[in-house]
Amino acid sequence: MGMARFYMNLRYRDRLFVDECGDELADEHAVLGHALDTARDLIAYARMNTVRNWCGCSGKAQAEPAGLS
Amino acid sequence: MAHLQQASVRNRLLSALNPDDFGLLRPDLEPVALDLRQWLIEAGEPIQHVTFPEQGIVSILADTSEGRIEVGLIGPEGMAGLPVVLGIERSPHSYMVQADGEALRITAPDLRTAIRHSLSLQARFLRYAHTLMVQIAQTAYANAGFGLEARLARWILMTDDRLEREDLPLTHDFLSMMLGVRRPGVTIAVQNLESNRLIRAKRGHITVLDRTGLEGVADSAYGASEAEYASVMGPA
Repeated sequence: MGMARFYMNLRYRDRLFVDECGDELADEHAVLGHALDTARDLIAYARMNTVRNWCGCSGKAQAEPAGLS
Repeated sequence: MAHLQQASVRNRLLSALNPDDFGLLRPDLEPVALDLRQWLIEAGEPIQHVTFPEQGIVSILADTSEGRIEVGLIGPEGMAGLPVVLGIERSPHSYMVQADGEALRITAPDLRTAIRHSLSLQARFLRYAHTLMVQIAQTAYANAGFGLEARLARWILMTDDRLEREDLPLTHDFLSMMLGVRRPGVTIAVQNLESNRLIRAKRGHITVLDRTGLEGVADSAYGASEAEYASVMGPA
C-alpha cells in the first residue's frame, strides 16, 4: 500500500503555523500516532516564547499542504 | 601538496600557523571536496583523516535514544578530527558535512608526526581544542537555558558566521536533527523568526535579513564562544 503525505498545521491563538514539508504516513493510525508523538515532543522539548502554553495550541493533520479546512 | 601556498589557504587554523609549522603539514595536505551529508568520521571507528574545511560546515553529532543531535559545529575556523591531536584514535561522535564545500585533509598518522616535531604546532591546535570545548559548553548552556527560537537563532548565526553564501542551505528536517526537536517545532520557530523579518525561509534555504535582530533573539546563547575564539585564536 502506498504512503500518503500528511501535513500537520498548528494553530496558537491567532497564529497559524503551516507545515510546508509534511510526512509520509501509511494510514489513519499512523497519522494519529505521529500527531501524538509530535505533541509529546513539543511539550517536552520545544520550550518557546511564541507558544507559552501548549494547552492553547491545536493541530490538524491533512492531506493538503497549506491552510486549515 | 608541495606547491600549496599558505597565503591562499582559507582555513583559519592553517593560515594562522607560523610558516615553519605550516611547512611541516604542507607536503601531506590533500585538497578534497566536502559533499553534503558525507560522513568524515564515524562514531567508534578509527579516525583516518583530520579535515580542515576551506568552505563548508561540518557538524559533530551525538547519537541518542531519541536520534541524532548536533553538539558542535566546525567551519573554516577549525578542524574535524581534534581527538587525533589529543592522542585519541576514535570518537564517540560522528562528523557529517552539513554544508558542502572544500577542505584540506591530512592523515591522522601524518598529523601526529608533525605535532611530535613541533611544540608550537601542538600548542596552536590545543588552543583550538579549548575554543571547541567552549563552543560545546555553550551548546549545552543554550539547550538547557533557552527556548527553541533562541537556539534556532544561535544556530543560524553560527552557520552564517562560517558560510560565505547569502542563502544558508537549511531544511526544516535538517534543523530538526540539529536542534533535537521534531520538525513542527522547527516550523513554528522558523515562521516566527520570518514573521519578525529576521530571516527569509524558502525551499530549504534560509537568508539572514537582520543579523542584529537575530542576536537579540539568541541573547547570551550566542556570542561567548565566538568571543573566546577571537580572544584565543586571534580576530578573523
